[in-house]
Amino acid sequence: MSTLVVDIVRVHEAPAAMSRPADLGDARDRDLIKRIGQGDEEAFRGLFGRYGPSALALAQRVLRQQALAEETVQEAFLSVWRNPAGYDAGRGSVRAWLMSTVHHRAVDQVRREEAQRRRAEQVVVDVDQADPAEAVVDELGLPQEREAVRRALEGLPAEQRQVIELMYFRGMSQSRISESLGLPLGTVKSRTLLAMRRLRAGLGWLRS
Amino acid sequence: MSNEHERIEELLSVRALGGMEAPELAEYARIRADHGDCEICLRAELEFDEIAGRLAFALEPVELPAGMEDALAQRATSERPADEVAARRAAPGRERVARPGRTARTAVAVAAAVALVAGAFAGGYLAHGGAKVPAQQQALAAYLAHPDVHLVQFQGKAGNLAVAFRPGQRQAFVFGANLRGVPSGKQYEVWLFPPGGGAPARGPTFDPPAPGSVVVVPVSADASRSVLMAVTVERAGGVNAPTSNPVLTAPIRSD
Repeated sequence: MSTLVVDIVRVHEAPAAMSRPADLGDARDRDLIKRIGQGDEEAFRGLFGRYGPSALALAQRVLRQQALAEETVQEAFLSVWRNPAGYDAGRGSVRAWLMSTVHHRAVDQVRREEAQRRRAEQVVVDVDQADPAEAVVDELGLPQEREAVRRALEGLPAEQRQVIELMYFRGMSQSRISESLGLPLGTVKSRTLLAMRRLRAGLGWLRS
Repeated sequence: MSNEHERIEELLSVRALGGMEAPELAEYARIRADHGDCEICLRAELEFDEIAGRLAFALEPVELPAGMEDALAQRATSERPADEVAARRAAPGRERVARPGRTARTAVAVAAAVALVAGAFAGGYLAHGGAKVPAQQQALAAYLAHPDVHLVQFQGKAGNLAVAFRPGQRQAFVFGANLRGVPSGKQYEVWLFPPGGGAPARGPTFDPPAPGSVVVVPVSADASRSVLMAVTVERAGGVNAPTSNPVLTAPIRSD
């Protein structure tokens, strides 16, 4: 079945609220958010302990500056403490919401500092290769998620994976990608959309 | 899939990945206003946002620096002690405020606010052949794209006004159109009322926009810490305390 047909079928099956993976981890995360809403510091520490390492890895990848990455992650989690009701269970998983919060803040920083940063001097690290300078924690959790996401990324054609790497993991705007790769802006946009559709099909959605 | 939906999905995919820029943010705001209750568009937005969030887990998690968790918890509880947070959560009558792109139920209310911006963007962007959108409107468009932004419409007969704010951020935007004129020597002034009934904090002053255009007023405050925002008509340049009844009010619910 082609991706387009899958998309059409998925749309016509859709209830008003989005369905998302019905896993125990997400249920636990929602409970943590609820408890944070009640002022539970332990729950806040629990959420940070669970996702802080991934959040910091993401911020480091986008920002390439350790101190700034740490500050960005702190601010993102502080925003959760200040307003846990910012999470909407009907919208998606806690973990995706958290990482999006971190990512948005990191990209904001990139936009602000783009004129000053010397990105060309940074070592390019392929998403599939571990950076030897980064201490890798033991598998604290989410190995299945990491496996699923990596498998979905590996399933992308190289040119689509490249756009995802530059836009998401390097924080580049579509215009910068267009300039850097010497591609028409429209090509960058279409590759982005195709990549996201493939990832949507690859990661899949389980009906709860 | 229609060309319009194709274009919307293209925008949503770039937005979810963080690659969108100011001119397209304006187009996104316009499209969201036009398609605020479109189930297909809402679904695409939610799914792409979820995918983008999960991409982070392709990376190997890293070891947190020693003391980072303790420092974070200390910052959190010093800003808002756990017991104070619990007391606030226990307060009855809290309502969720409209948030762009969340659910079809809120989309109509949000679209009305976003349309204030979209109308100006559409006019400015198209009328000037795609040339520069005013900087404040670009900043607002970028602000509206954040996933944690809240939108509240002011109530009152003086015109269409809304406030966009991100809880915990000392930056918000009041924006509007079709506001009544004010007497010569007067301006609108924004006020932020704290919980507990204390004196309101002064916000910026602004002039009503010309017919057909939008005013965008940055507010250097964390609006989520207010229970109410209000607008009065005051002496040009502002006053230290309101001297007249509000012409527009916006209840702020921070949780």
